[in-house]
This record gives sequence, structure tokens and C-alpha cells, in this order.
Amino acid sequence: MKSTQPAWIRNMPAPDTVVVHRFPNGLQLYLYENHSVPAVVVNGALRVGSVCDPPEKYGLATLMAGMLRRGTRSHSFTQLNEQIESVGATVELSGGRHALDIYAKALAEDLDMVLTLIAEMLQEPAFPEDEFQRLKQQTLTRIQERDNDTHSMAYITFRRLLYGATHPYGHPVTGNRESVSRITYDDVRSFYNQHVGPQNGQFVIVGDIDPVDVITRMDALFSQWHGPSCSVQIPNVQPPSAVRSEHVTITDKAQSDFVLGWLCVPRKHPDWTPVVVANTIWGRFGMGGRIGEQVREKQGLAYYVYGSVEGNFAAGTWSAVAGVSPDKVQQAVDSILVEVQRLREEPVTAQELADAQEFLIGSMPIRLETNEGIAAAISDMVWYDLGLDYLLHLEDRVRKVTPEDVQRVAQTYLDVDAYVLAVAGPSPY
Amino acid sequence: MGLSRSVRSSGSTLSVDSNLTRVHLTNGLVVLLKEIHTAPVVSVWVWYRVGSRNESYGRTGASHWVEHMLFKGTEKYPAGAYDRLISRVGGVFNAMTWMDYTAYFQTLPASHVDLALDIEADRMVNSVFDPVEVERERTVIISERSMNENRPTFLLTEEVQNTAIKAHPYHHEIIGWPSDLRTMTRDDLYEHYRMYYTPNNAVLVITGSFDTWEMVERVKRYFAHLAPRPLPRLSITAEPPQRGERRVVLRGGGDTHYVQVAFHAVSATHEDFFPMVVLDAVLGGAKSFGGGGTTNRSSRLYRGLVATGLAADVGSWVGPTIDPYLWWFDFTVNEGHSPEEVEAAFWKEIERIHAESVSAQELEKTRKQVRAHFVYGSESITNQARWLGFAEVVTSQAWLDSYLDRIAEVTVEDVQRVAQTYLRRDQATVGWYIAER
Repeated sequence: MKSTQPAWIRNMPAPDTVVVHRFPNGLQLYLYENHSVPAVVVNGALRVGSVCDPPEKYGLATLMAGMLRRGTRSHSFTQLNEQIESVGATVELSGGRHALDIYAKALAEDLDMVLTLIAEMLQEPAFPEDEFQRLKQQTLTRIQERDNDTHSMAYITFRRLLYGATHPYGHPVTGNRESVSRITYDDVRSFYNQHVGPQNGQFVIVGDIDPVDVITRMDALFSQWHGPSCSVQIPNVQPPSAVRSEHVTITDKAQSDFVLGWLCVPRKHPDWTPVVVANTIWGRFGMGGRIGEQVREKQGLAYYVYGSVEGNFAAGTWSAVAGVSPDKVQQAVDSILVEVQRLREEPVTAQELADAQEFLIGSMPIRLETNEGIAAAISDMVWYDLGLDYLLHLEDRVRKVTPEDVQRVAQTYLDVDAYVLAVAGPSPY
Repeated sequence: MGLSRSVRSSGSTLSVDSNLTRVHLTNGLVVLLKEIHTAPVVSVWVWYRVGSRNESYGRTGASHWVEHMLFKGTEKYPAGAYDRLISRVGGVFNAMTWMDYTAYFQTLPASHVDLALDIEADRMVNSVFDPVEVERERTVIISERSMNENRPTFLLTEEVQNTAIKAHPYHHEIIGWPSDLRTMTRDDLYEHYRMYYTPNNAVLVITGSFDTWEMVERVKRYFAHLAPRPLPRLSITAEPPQRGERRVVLRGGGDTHYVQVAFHAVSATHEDFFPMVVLDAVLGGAKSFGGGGTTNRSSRLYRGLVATGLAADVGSWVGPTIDPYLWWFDFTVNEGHSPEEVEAAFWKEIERIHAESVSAQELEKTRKQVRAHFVYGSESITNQARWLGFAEVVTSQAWLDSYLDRIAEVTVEDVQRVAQTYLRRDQATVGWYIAER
């Protein structure tokens, strides 16, 4: 299918290159052909995630997602693994914040088999009790590891401080030790029965495919599926009005990790592009933008330091992340705050802005080179309702950003007197 | 039939085909060019035949540090210029130091290939190693080491590795020992750089959208005038045979125990290498070629240890190296179970293979998995370039070209023999990490 894309970019998901098919049950299908290798990627997402977890049982949606992979009415877990792995394919189901994610990769000749198994997992899970015990134990061991990891704990603590422990965005998607311990086999089955269905769900399939054949197959597998859904209101959150800081002590560590950040915009927001451009200058370009220049290049304080913007259906985050020697945390934090102040007070230079814009635009072909990259791009556009022409107009949106826009978003969202700082590592005393 | 159109592969395999052009410049630079016209991008790599294998006492970590310094400026491109120039055209870049090589790459729009060639030719011979920048990188690299040390599995791997390997330079971690990182001088690093960074010790690989003969002329413009230098004579102590089981126990923070077992492997060109790779796939799952990882839930060790609840996770690895390295098996012990139980279950699985080998079905599965991984690995021109360069410095193009065939030739007898020869207790180094909160 020919496309009206710019000549310099080969793979461009756009309204005339993505085939769309909507099922009456609310499930949507997006297909993109890429015949460079005989392989395919499947990205699926259903609208049920950790935001649907009941208060005492954080981690339930994630555990349930894992259980769907553990056996169906027609195939045991062992049989699924054998069938999938014997052709070098991957099929994974995992829990996210708003989504139950489905990921599959296979040779093109095995797509039919993979889709059939996915349909079984979602519609006819067997919930074997022994597999539940094993999955729960594995999950608890992974949480145990996570709780000892400075990088993970800094991130988890940051979100808790920013959103609040009981906010749908404030607790870890996988839950915590206490909450997961409380989850029972019946909890998982009930959760599935109450919340898993096709409404507003999506499948993105990219690769060496014939769209007509895929639609026919998906129709046979999914169009008769009916089920409930989960709808959650995400409460508004106020940005911090002062410094909110916490140090999680983890002994026997050589380095401390921290997240320093603020509340920011949802994914679908007019300020998203200016914020991304601002963050590119502040925390990404080259080796970590301005903060990388200060903290890593000039002071040699950190092997990794960068700025990060996250957006979701409700307010997201804008933060700086770094790993430093435990006695250098304050120095690194101060340096980052100096760069926040600069971004707020002085417009960025025309050169810096142009560099960031060229990077964001010029790196698109590389991001869209593989089936994974293309599928991820389409999934985002659909999930956040950005429109299939979103990438087509990315260049325009990015070029429109001015130094005044960058300064405005810095002043709106960043604040040197009010922020969240989460540090994890050896005791500061 | 199926859901795919039947497609002609557009030269998109990891194996060498008629799309690969090889040129040797008179200064010794090896140039590999492969046209792949799936997108208007190019990937430019330079591989140097130097890694931790080339390091001795007092200089461990030098190759990795030199890699860092190659981003810290020449006269033409001062510190930071490189990152900005590549990023501003939308390019992605990185570098990696390993045991057998150091490699640098940038993938960028094809119209900017001159920038990549200019930078690589320049920093090959003109890197400045400014003492101020060396000192800044000292703390950055110490920070990188600290980041690694935060992980109990890194600590255990380091311990097992330098217990399993006593004499050969593969015994130390690529990042180097802490005291060397604190004491190496600017001149030590610069000397290491001048010894090994020379066109006659390098391979230039370019994949993507270009015309081969036009690119050859471009490459000559940038690289042909660089003078070769004699290479140092490398004295590497060969690892002597292991004369009995070795064990190490680490204790540290956290709540999770780990077990790692390492055996001696063979070099990539040894006749037992491919049977080892096949057995490793049966035991711990086939490994990816950079096109995406796969799961190992149908593997022997997963079924024997994870499906039974003893371990939360199991992994294994054996890979192509110039000299013999290690064959690794690693386990995350599940809560409520002990390292003893996990290790015992591991040996039971190994003893089964000693006695019965593996099945023909498992061999067929491995062949299919490896074939699929080759396909996935060809999706990106960056990854294709990576494998061409890797093969050139570690093995050969013929080795890469025949990889799938060599895998297919492995028999159940080969697998049994390799298990009995290499996977033995008296050849093992066993490490336990015991968490003590």
C-alpha cells in the first residue's frame, strides 16, 4: 500500500498505511505491513490494569494477567510453552497501570498459531491452582528483589510521594509484599470475571502480513467475545506546594539512586510536545542534556543522569533520575535545581532549540525501523486517542515550539521550591 | 495457507551473501559494506581488536576507560561535540567494551554518513585524552562500577568468574578492579590507546542505504591516509586445566539468595562450540541475536527448577569468544528454598543428560529457535552491522555464514559427549550469594 509519507522516512504509520478494523464488541484491530523480514509483532492491550486493583489487593490485575498465560481450556502451561517456544516465538501477557498488555513475536508463518493461543488465553483461561501458587511465589520473590534495588525503590517512592499511596498512580503495578500475600486464588478468578473483556481493547499487528487474511482470522477468533470491563476515575492530584522528600535506607549498597520530579501533563495535552522538547534540551540531548552536562560531564558525579517525561490518562510526571555516590546526592540534586532555575528564567538559545527539534524529528526513521518500533508507535497513537496522523504531523508540532514555549512550560511545571525527591541507598547519616 | 504473503527476503539474513563487500585498505583497515535498502539510514561501526583480554595487572579496565575517552574529544571535535553533532541529525550512538573488542557505532540518516566517517577516522588517531577530562571520567566510571556493585548478582558473577579463571585475562571484569580505577594515570590510558587504536587493528562496518562503490571512495577519503603502527606482542597466559571443584560463598544484604555455576567453555572456533550452544539451548533456552529475547519456559532447567518452585528464575549463557571462556548457569532461589536445594536440582538435570543425552525433538526445536532468532536479528541494520563486525574480530565471516548449518549438524551423541566432558563437578565453580538482612 503506497503512502503519502515524506520521502526520507520509509515506515510511517499513518491513516493511509494503517489498516483499521473495528469489531462490534468494541475491540479494534490495527495492521501495518512491513515485508523487510518474514516476522511479525503483536501488541495488544485491554483496558484493565492496576488502576482497577481493590485497595487491599494491589497487584491483583498483574497477577491475573500472569495467570491467563498459565493455561487454557485446551492447553496446559507446559503445552503452551512447548508450542510457542518450539517455533522460536514469544507470547507474553503482563499487567500495566491501565492495561493488560499482550506481546507476541513470531515468524510470519506462525502468526496464525500465536493468535489462536492468545484468543484462548484471553477468552478461555483455565486458572490451574498449582500454577497460581507458583506464580504468586515467583511474584513475591521478584518483589523481594525489587525492594532491595535502589533504582526501583527510588522510582516507587517518588510515585507514592507525588500521588499518594492510595491513588491509582501511587502504588506499584505489581503491588507490594503485604498486598500480594493477601491475594487468593478466588480473587484472581473473580477479578477476571468482573473486568476482562474486549471493550475499547486494541490489537496492533505489524510485519510480514496480509491484512485481509489477518482480519478474517481475528474475526473468527475474537468477534464473538463478550465480557465486562473496568472503568476507573482517576482522582485529580495537586502538585506539591513544598519539598516532599524521603530517603529509603537500603544497606550494603555502593550507590544511591534518586528521582527528583514534578507533576506534569497527561499524554493527550497541548503542552505535551513543548514539554518533550524542553526535556530534550534539559535532560536528553546528547548525553543527558543540560543536567547530563553538569552532573556527569562537568562534575563526573554520575554514570547515568537524564530527564524523563511520562504521560498517561491523568497527570503524568517530569523528573530527573540519577545514580550517584551516597555522599554526593545533595550536590547532584543542587546542580539539577540550578538547571531548573535556568530553564525557568532564561529562554533557551535558538541553537539548543534547533538541535533538540532536529533530534526528535531526525530520529524517527530509526525508531520506526523494526516491527517492535512501528507497533509501539501505533499502539501509543491508538491507546491515547492521538489520531493515526499523529506521527505524520510530528515534524510540524515540534518545529512550532519556540523558546517562549519552553520557558512557559518550565515555569508551569517545574519549581525549585516545590518538588518530590525520593532517594534510595545507604543511610545518609 | 497462512497469514503472510510469500516474501522474497531482501538480503536480510545474518549470513554473508553476495550483498557483502570486503575491502582492505593498504594501511590494514578492513572495510565491510552491506547495502540494505529498507530505510534511508546507515549504521557505521568501528571495531578495535582490544578488550579486557588485552589487560594486565595495574591496567584492568583500561580498554573500557579508553572507550569513554573516545567521546571526550579530539582537536577537531572537542568534548561533547560528538554527542551533539550526531544527536542533532537524529542519530543514535553508543559504544561497548567487551573481553575481545571495543566497538563504536552510530546509526543515522544516510545523508549524514560523512559526519560518522569523519568522526571515526578522527578519533581513531587524534583523541586528546585531556587530563581534566580523564579525571572527570574516573569518577564516572567508579560510579558505573558502583551501580553494578549494587546488584548482588554482579558481585557473585565477579567472584565466580575470577575463581573459575585464575590465569587468563578473562578473569577480571571488563570495568576493572577498583584500585586500578583509582590509580591509572592519563598516560597509562593514552599508551593503551596508542598501542591498539590503529587502522591495522580495526574493522569498519557500514550497513544501510548507500551505493557500495561510491561508499568505498568515501571511506578511502577519510581513512586511507591514516598510518598503520606496529601492534604490541600480546602475551596471554592460557588458563591451565582445573583440577577440582571450586566453591565461593558471598554474604550480603537483601532477602534473595542466588546460585551461579560456571564451567569452562571452548573458543568459538573449536569443534565442540556448536554442540555446546545446542546443549545450552536445551538446558536454558536459545539465546537471541539482538532481535528480541525469548523465554525459556520449555527448557530443561526451567521445567526442573522453576516449574517445581525451587527457583523463581533460571538463565544460562555460553557464547563465541576468541579464547575459552565460561559456560554460565544462574538461578534466583525462591523464598522458602535454599541454595543447596537449587544446586542439587541443577546437578540432577545435568546427570540426566550425562546418562540419556537429549531428544531428537529437542534438537529440532533448537534449530527452529535459532533460525527464528536470525530472522529477528536482521530486522535492524544496526544489528546486522553488529554481527558482521563481531564475526570479523572474534571468529570469521565463514563462521557466521555457516552458523545455522553447524547448529543443524549437531547430533544427540555430540551433546552427550559435550555434557560428559565439560559439565562435570570437578570442572565447576559454584557460587552462592546468601542474603542476610
